[in-house]
Formats: sequence, C-alpha cells, structure tokens
Amino acid sequence: MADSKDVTLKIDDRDVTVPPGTLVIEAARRMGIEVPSFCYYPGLSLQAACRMCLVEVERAPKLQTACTLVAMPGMVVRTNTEQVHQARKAMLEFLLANHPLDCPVCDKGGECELQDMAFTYGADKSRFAEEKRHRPERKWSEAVYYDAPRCILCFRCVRVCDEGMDVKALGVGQRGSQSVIIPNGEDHLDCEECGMCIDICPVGALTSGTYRYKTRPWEMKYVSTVCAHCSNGCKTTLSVRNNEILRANNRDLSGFNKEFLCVKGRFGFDFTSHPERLKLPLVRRNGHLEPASWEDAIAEASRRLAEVHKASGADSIGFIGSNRTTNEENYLLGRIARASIGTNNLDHHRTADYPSLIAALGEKAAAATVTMTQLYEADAVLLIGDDPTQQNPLVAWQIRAAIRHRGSRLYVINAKSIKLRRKAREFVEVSQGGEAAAVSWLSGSDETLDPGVAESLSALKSALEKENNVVVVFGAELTGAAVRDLVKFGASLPGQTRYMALGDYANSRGASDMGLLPHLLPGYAPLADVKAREKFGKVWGAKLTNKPGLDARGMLAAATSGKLRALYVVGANPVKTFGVNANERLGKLDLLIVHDLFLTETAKLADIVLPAAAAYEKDGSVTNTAGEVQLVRKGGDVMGTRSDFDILRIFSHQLAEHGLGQAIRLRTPEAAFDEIRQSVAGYDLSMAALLLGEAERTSPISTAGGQAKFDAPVGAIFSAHDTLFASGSLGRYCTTILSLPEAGPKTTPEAGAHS
Amino acid sequence: MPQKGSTWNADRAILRIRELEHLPGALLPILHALQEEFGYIDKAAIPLIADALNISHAEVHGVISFYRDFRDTPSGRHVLKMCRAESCQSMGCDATIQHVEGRLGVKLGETTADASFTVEAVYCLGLCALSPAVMLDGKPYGRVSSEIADFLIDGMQRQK
Ligand code: SF4
Ligand code: SF4
Ligand code: SF4
Ligand code: FES
Repeated sequence: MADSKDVTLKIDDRDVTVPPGTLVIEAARRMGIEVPSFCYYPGLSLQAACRMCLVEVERAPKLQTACTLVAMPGMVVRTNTEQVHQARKAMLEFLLANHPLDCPVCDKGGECELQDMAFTYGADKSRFAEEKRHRPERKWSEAVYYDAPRCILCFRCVRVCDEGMDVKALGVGQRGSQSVIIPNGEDHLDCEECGMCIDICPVGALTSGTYRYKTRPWEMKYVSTVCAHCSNGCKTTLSVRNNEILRANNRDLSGFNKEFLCVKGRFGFDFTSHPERLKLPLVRRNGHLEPASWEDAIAEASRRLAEVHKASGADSIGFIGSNRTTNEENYLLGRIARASIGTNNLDHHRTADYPSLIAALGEKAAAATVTMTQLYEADAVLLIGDDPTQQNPLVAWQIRAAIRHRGSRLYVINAKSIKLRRKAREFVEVSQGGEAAAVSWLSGSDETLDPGVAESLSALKSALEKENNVVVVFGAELTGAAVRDLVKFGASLPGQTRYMALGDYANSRGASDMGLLPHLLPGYAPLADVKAREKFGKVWGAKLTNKPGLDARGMLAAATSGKLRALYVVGANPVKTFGVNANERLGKLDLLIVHDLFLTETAKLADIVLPAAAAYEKDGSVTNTAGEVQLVRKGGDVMGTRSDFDILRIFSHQLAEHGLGQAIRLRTPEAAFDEIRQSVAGYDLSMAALLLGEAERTSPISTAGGQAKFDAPVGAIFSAHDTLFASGSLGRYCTTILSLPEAGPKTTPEAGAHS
Repeated sequence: MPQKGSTWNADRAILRIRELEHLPGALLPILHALQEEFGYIDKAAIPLIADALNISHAEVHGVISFYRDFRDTPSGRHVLKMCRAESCQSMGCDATIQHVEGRLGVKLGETTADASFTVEAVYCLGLCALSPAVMLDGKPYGRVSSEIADFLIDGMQRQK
C-alpha cells in the first residue's frame, strides 16, 4: 500500500515506489534489478568501501554508490549503461590487484561473490604490472582461518562481529594497499567463535577450520533442517557428501534466524561422526554389555518389559524421554507409556515451565506469546533470568538487532551481570535465585526485598509502565507460581504484554507440548480431564488411567526403593542430569532400556542399549522454545543406527504381541504428524507451509479452565546453564567446539556437562 | 630533542590514560601521550586503552598500525625519517639513503646496535620544495645531500 510519504523514482526506465529512507540498491532489488555489491550487507552499517555498486544518477556529476544513496522523489537512476559497466570493470580490476585468483584451490570457489562478478564483468587482463603482494595464511582459531591476499576489504566481517555479535573481535590493521583484517588477540581470536564472519565474507578470505580443503560446493547435497542444540530452533543447511555432514551454515538466509548461527549451529555437527558413536545394539550378558542384533535386542527388551509388567504391574515401569527427539518420537513414547503399558510415570528433563505459562495465559496463550521474529519487532523487552548470549544465542541476537535497528529498549533482571546488560536501559541485580521474589514483588505482593533491589525494581517498574506492548523473556529461574505472578504483573502494563519462556534444547518445548509429563497429556490436556483421556484413548486404542504418575526424580527415587522395576530412557542421561549416584539408585531395577547415540553414564548401566540416529539423521518436526514448529530432515546416515521413531514403532508391535496395547500403525513421521495435527491441541498447522520450510506457531490453550495448578515441585524444572560451547551430554562429543580454547579446560566424556 | 626514555611502566601508562580518557575521540591523544612518555606504544598498553575507552583490542591495534608515526617497539635515541616520496626521489634521496644506511650499518626501519639511531622511510614531509627532505627528532631539514646527512648525524653523535 502506497503511503503518502512514499517516494517514487525511476530505475532503468521503470517507476518504483518505496518507503522514505530506502536505499537505491534496495529499491533496485525490489524490482529484480541486481546492483552488484560487496561491502553492502542488509542490517549492517553502511561502509561504501568496495565501490561495486556505482550507478548513474541523472543530474549528478559523477557515478553514485547505490548502497548509500537514499531514494528521492523523481530521482532517475540507471544501472545498466556503458559508463556503469566500465566502472564495475575498473573496480574489479582494483579489487583483483592483489588477489591471487586461486579459485581452483579456494573453498569459496563455486559460491564466491567475487568469482561471480569477475565472471560477469571481469576483464581477462589487468593493467597492474606490479607483483601481487603475498601474505601467508593465518590460523586464527580452530574454527576461523584468514587468507589476506583474497580479502577485498569489504569489512563485512568487522561489522558483523561488532554490530551483530557485539564481540568486536575483528579490526582493520595497517592502511591503504597494506590493509588487513586483524584479530583481537594479535595473532589469534579470543571470541564467541560463531563463524558469522566466515559465512558473511563474500570471498574466500575467511574460511572454516572444519570445512577447508575438504570438498567442492557442487559435490555436496544440501539438506535444510533445524539446529540440534539449543531451544531456539535456528534453520541450518547441512552440506552432505556421501552421507557425511561436512558443513552447516545458513547461507540461503532461510528461517527466522536468517544469517545467524552460533558456534554450536555452525560447528557442532561433528558428534554425528564421533568415533564413540554406538552402531550396534548392546545387551548385558554376564554383567557385560555385548553386541547383539537389532532383532534380538528389541525382542529381548519387549519380552522382559512384558515380564516386569506381568510381575509388578504397569506402575512399576517408568519412561524418561528426551529434549532433542522429534515431536513424533515424543508422541510415540507417550503413547507407549500411557496406552501400551498403562502408566503415567512419564517425564523428561524439564528446562522451562511451559505448562505454567500456558496455564497462566489461558485462552490468550497463542496471542500472548511471541515468535522469534516478533521478538525482533518488540519495542521493549524485559529479560528475567537466563543468559541468552550463552544459553539462547538467537534470542540474544534478536534482542541486539531490535535495539540496533529499531531502537528497542531492553530491561534486565538477573542475578549475574550477563553480557546483555551492556545493552540494557535498566539492570536490576538480584541475589542468586532472587528472580522469583523480584517478580512476586513486581506483581504487588508484600514480598520483602533488600532495599537496594526494591529501589531499582521500582525504577524499572516505572520505566516499564511508560512502555507499550512489552515482551517478557524469562528463563528457568521462574517456574510455577512465579510464572503466574509474572503474568499478573504483565497484565498491569500498558498495551498487550507478551511472553517467551526460554528452555535449553532443540525440542524442549516439543517434549512438553507432546505431553512427556506425568500430569499432562499432549497439548497440555490435564490427565484429570475425562474427555481428554477418552479422546487420546480412542486414538491410541486403550483406556487411559488417571492414576498420577511419577516425575523423573520420583522415578529415580522409586528405582532406589525398589518400587520401580523397569525404566525406559530415550535420548536422555538422567544419571548425569539429576545427579544420581548411579549404582545406588538404579541398582535395584530389573530392567533398564536406553536409546542413545553414545554410551552415556545412564547407558552404561543399562541392560539393553539401542543405538539411535541423531537429530541430523532423521525426518520429523521439532518445536522451538517460542512454539514454532519446523521440519527436520535427514542429512547424514550412520550405518547400524535407527531413528527413535522406528525403534518405538517396532517396539509397540512387539509389546502388542505380548498382549500390551495396540501396535502403532503409523509407518512414517509424516503419518504420525498427521495424527498429531488432528489430536494435539494447537498443532493443526499448515502442512504446506511446513513443507516449504517455514516455521508455524502452535496455538496451545490450557483447557484446565481456571483450575490450572502452578505446582511444579521444587527442582523439577531447571536449566543446565549450558554455555555457548556446551550442549548437554551431546556437547561432550562435539570435537571441534571442544577444541576451541574459549570452551575452557578439556573435558573428557566422563566429566562433561549435563544431559 | 632526543626521544624519551623507553622503559614501559604500566602504572605510568594508566596515569596518562586516565588524564585523557574523558576527551571525545580520546584514542589518538592517548596514543600520542604514551608514545611521548615511552618513545613507543607497548603491546601491554592495548588492553589498558581498550578497557578505558570500551573499544576492542583489534580497534586499538588497528589505529596504531594505521599511523606510521606510532611505534610498537622502542626507537633509538634519535629518529631520522627520510622522505622517499616522488619529489625527493627525483631529487636523489636514494643516494642519501644508501649513504646513511652504509654509515650507520642499518636498513630503513631498523635501529643501530648501540640504539643511538633509528632510520625510517616516510612518504612526504610536505617539504617537496626543499627535496630531498628528512626529519631528525621531529625537526625538518631540506636539501639533504649525503654530506649534510653526515653533518646532522655527527651533530647528534657529539651531543650523545
Ligand atoms: S567467529 Fe564470530 S565472534 Fe569470532 S571473530 Fe568471527 S564473527 Fe567475531
Ligand atoms: S575477510 Fe572477507 S568479509 Fe572480511 S573484509 Fe576481507 S573480504 Fe570482507
Ligand atoms: S542459537 Fe541455538 S538453535 Fe541457533 S545455532 Fe545456536 S545452538 Fe543452534
Ligand atoms: S556495495 Fe556500495 S560501495 Fe560497496
């Protein structure tokens, strides 16, 4: 819709109308006219360093740089004249003056902007007679290498590191023809190792330590999927050759994260080819885990589970699911627990209190939560707890971008002086674990606080009262009643306050949405709700019990006391996560079955270990912490492993043969997702959009109708506080990330992080 | 004026940084002050400056390396800058430079073993009318033939 302030100009003899302030290069792009550019990068400050974008403007004495020229009414621009061509050709000649033109051995060859330009405009001869300056290649870190002769000094890397990442690890050294990019540590980088600089580099000057000299871009297939690590759900493209993942990036700018990936998204894929990957099922014989065939392992697992069921009853069996397995897998696991076995002993490592948030928001839940894109569009953000720079890097990126591009305002309540503090208008430092008390105070309770804290909180409160449509982002520090208080406080602020709860892992939200919880069925339907039980009972072919189940800690305690006889663990490492003394607390189990990629602390104690496919090796869907559902796609493949989906499906068939439940007839993740769309509240999403690679937001509603309980037991919900360089148990097998000095002292798989 | 003593001292550096950090665009004044204080800018100063001004290490290093006048190693007691730009070249500066290099036993950019002289190339001192030109300890001299260069060096060596 044309606004009265919009400007109309002419580019290459066609009229175009754009909002005021639009750059000519952007106006041209809208019309499908490509003005070549190197230094210009949308979202970063203007540099006008490369002069590739020169265009002719009527009545201007010389050529103008389209990347800095603001469109004006009546302007007449030409991008395709002889003079412009001459200029582009001349600029290329300058850019190539010291460039080695070593495309045949350059990683970027085949996908290089400079190569493309030289192909289009380049001359076959240069007028420079001087010898090209050579400089040796530098290794700045395990992740980032710099090859100065290829650098065209566009400064995209310097700007993305400074403006985008707020790390400022790169600078420009020397001057004139001697100029080079320099790292902050003199000859090495001391930074967040995100690799943003590598992918934003238009040429092959910055290359990736994990990918360099491995292959050519046209030899790989590209698989668009979702990052396997944190809960933010960045879209990533895997570059795969012969079933091996060689690279992850987001050069196609797909997804809400656009160019962004953090160090885990970009370099954390090598766990898939870690030598310790399990490739054969293991069965305990005479006290030792020994290799077995898939047939034998699954047959034994189902037979023994049926025996326990017969001897000690359904409630002597427990299930602990995963934060990383797909929605379909979680849904299947819940079905096996509740329908095949008939128990509500079902849980996972909960890292954010999604149920309480949804319950507190009630009917409004969908409208009152924000997507990652809406977070960027927020005018004011209140961040409580968490350290997004470390734990939720895309969230931090979105907040920084909102501040930089849109002048948004950030307010922070935290027990630590987190990095985002630098960007905050107000920062309230509370005592360790004091976030909940602060929120309770804000919501008007008579909580007594340290006078200093109370004073800064009231300053923050009055600042927030002047804002409109605040977005509140909070971590695992707020659970249960604190979430209810938060929503109460939010309701007192002007406009519509919206929320985002921050969890830890790629499908933390999905595990919760799919009902891997003792008290909630998929879609947050309370177990106590007869209708919901009947609905799922009908779909799953069983009568569901409303007998309360044990949560994860409860199951582990029951394993100690001997009340729990069998535990089925999918893609989780409860021994480590919940800090159980393994021998003591799991020793009394008759049967421990574990699906995992590696022999974790938990898998080591198992009777049967089933080698699972990793997130990058299967199809399905995951839901990010903001409730955005996206499809994951099979990139790599590791011989001998099976997806948790297949394992669970086959398992249900075998259980059915032992008289337990009905066999699951959903043959593929797509079929399971169809069932989810029909049966899980909030998941009736557009399949077409998902297939196109888009993110679709779920619209959960708590059907508890006002009786929602905020009773998360203390310690039931907690974050692993992973840093940028950690990713639970999985992070211990990300070799590249662990080799970075910023990742801290080397940890052996034994001594690693939480689940 | 010969260059000042050049023992790096973090406390003195911090004092100088403190004096100037409030200025708008304080980086250049600070760099000048440190160079004046120590005769060069020690690497150890980079984090101190970066912290004081809340800018990155890379940026401080970038500015130091951008300006030829800033040194990152101690200089000799006297600094002789010899112009090698077009005008001086066409007036024969190369011969003078060769002569000075021979006499002091160093190449351009080096410091003599006894640390008495640092000889550097510069590109234009703005004294083209008096080419070939040099600058000795901050003072410009014009029409510097090999004899005049000797005379200047002799003068400094006598002075010690
Ligand atoms: S890897 Fe990331 S943090 Fe490090 S220099 Fe590159 S952009 Fe900056
Ligand atoms: S390294 Fe790449 S991104 Fe950085 S200035 Fe050089 S060409 Fe540009
Ligand atoms: S921010 Fe999270 S989802 Fe995005 S790349 Fe990093 S770990 Fe992956
Ligand atoms: S894109 Fe315009 S000057 Fe580089």
